[in-house]
Amino acid sequence: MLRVILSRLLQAIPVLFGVSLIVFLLLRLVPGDPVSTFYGFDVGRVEDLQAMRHQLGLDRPMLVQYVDFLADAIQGDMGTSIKTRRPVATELVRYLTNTAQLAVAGMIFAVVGGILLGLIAAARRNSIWDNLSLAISLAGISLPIFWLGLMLVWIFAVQLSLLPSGGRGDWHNLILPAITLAAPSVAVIARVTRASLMEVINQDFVRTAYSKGLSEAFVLLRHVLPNGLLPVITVTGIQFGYLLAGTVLTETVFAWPGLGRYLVDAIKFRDYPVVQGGVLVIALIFVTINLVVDVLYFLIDPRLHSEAAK
Amino acid sequence: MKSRTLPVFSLLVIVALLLAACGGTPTTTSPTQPAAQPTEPESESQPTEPPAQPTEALAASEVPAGTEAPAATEASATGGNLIYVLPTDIASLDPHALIETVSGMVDLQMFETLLALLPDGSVGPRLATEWSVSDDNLRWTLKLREGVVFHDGEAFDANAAKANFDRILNPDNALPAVRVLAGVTEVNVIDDFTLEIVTQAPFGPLPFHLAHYSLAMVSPRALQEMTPEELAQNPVGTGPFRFVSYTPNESIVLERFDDYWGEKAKVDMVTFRPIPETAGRALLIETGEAHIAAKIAPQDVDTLRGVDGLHVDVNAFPRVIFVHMNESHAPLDDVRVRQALSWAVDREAIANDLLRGLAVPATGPVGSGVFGYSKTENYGYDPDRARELLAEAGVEGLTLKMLVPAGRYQGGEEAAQAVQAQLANVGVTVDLEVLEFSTLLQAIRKPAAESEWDLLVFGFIPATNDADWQVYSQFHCDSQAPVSNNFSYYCSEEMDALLEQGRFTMDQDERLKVYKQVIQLALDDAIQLYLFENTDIYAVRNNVQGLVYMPIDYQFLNTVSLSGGD
Repeated sequence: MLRVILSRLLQAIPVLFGVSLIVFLLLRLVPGDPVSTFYGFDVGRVEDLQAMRHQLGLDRPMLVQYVDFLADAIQGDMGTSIKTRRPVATELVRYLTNTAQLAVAGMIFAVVGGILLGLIAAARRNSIWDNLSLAISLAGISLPIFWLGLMLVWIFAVQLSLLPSGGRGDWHNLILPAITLAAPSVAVIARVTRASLMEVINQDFVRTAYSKGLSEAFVLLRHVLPNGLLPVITVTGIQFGYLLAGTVLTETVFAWPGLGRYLVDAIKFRDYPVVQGGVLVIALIFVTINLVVDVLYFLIDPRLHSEAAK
Repeated sequence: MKSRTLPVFSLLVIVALLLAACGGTPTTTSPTQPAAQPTEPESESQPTEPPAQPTEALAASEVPAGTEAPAATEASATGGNLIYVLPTDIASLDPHALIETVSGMVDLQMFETLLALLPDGSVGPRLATEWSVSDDNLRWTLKLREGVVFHDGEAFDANAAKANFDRILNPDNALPAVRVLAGVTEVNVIDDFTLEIVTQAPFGPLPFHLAHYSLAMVSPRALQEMTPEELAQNPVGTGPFRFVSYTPNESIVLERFDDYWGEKAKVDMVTFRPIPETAGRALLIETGEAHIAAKIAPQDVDTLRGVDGLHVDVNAFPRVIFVHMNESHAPLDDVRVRQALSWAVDREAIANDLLRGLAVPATGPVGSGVFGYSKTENYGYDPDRARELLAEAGVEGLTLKMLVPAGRYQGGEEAAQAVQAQLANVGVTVDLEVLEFSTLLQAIRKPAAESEWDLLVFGFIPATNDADWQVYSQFHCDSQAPVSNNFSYYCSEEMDALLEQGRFTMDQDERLKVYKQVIQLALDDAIQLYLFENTDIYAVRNNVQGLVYMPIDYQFLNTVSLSGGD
């Protein structure tokens, strides 16, 4: 067990190293640099640009800059944003928290909505309910986030004045963006739940349960659902990754100050330290999620135990 | 299997709920936070107390004022919280580190400059009450206002002003504000309330420069005690509003400064909310979640005009959109060809039809609100004359490469396509290339020999609202790219002499006459192809009173009040 975790951690080092190098090089290969973007056309003298480049250390050789960045990053220092002159690490924590908040809220909607729809569809196979659930899933996966988000805002913020149209605040502000973000995942989870539950419903022990005279609701919730959930959990994990990474559109529609929007702005501005730090942190998150999934599988699947023992 | 999946699933749900709970009441994480604010969802009408904490990371989780839907519409007759929607987040709260007007707008509520722009575009007193220049035109003497205090209690005097200028002029600090002080060699204290500014050469535009937001006065104590990073987050000025909190990409909260020397603010608080999406800005004002929304997109104007309780202000905005013609490339070095291109473009159609009247045909290089503007006769639409001139110059089958920055100027890309079509009409083929702004800058900030484009769509508004800032950087031989903004690589002795005269002249009325000649020469030589002036569109709830627009897009909010209903 410990060996598995250790080996995975060791494997993560070259991945993170590679990511940092690629981001660093890509940023400098792309035309444009932060100092001239910062000044735009509002330049008095070229010396002012040179002075700022010097102050930021951008006039040093690339290798020196990279080694410097790496050395600082290992100690948790991501440098200072060129645009805002605030520490990148603090900024990343702030925006990552906001994004995680949105992703978790979206996940709750996706899991609850998806499993509910899938359960109904499986229990009433080929009925109107099944078709309705299919229709809702299809809609969720096909509607563009921009359109869905704006529609929800139009209905709930403009017409009904029930919820705020955007921005961060209390839980009211979370509802619309979370629903928007969750819509495609609801569909995926619902379809997987339906397929998996239908397999279980046809099994002998379910028939036995019914024949004991148990109510349908009890059988479904106590016997069918728990047994059909393993594939759902797998899919949910993958979907959570998507939600974390896919928030940028939702963040834009709802003016949610999350990591996606922050990074897109930083890329436009060529804010080197922010982009480097941000991508590194995202890579770190993916490595961690993979590690957690590996460990979970290891815990759930006994076959892996015996292999590891060999 | 059953026994495993159920616990795992419940665990997942519990973790998710826990995370959500932490996310929902996010005050738990930071030890420096004040106790969690009770945020009752029902109490929508009361303005939420903003966090007393300044900006640090987790202040982000505090509930920012103004996020509760109907707060904006229910402000009382006195005071209230003015909610102002910005098109982007601010870059810095340190005025000396600033370069763009959105941050300038916010900072000007908390900071003041020695002189200030007036609504008519000229310059008037602010922290300095009078100013004069020595006989050799090199030494400016400013009388400073007495009885002014900074938000931290420090008194404003000549030493405080000098500390600010010294900070900016120190090359080690590499502060963007230094660009506004180019040519200033030293700043001296004459007595407690008299300051002397010495320039290297006579510099007539100086009063306009002293009114620029990046020369605002910061408390000398703050300058001494804080690092640049701290100054960027803790503004201490003399303005009518005092800083309360800043949550990046969410809100900037200010409150009235009761010891302000001038007209005290009428509202209790101002909350700025940056909303980059144009549709989002329109929605906030439509739902009444905000009082003022800046930079409304043209496509939202019709909708907003149909909404009760608000009005749309379309203001002239002195940014001229024009096309640089690269004179280092034949045949654009021939004035007849440049004139031909100028005759070939239908500005009326672009401004009135394509941009639906939300742009104004340009009369010349300088925008109409700028000091130095004169009404001149721009080229009309005459394709026949264009063809004649091209034939006269012996030009046939001309193909030009035109660059446009993506999403930079309101109507910029649409206009570029119209120009492309209209030039095709006189036999000139235009290859249009839309480039992201950073990429474009890289492509054009080059000496003439390395330039690989012929036409460049460009927009400019002089940050000081003085024509010198614009024309000197675009027309002077010494300003040729990459040094400054002369991307046309234009060079003429006559023009250089006029531009220098504009700087050496101290009498502002005389300067106006000089710039009239500059503008006329720019048109005669067809240095650039002048298209249209942008407008600046605001949506304002009807309960907002006393809002005065300045020529460059900012307002001083101490005159604004909120009336009962709307």
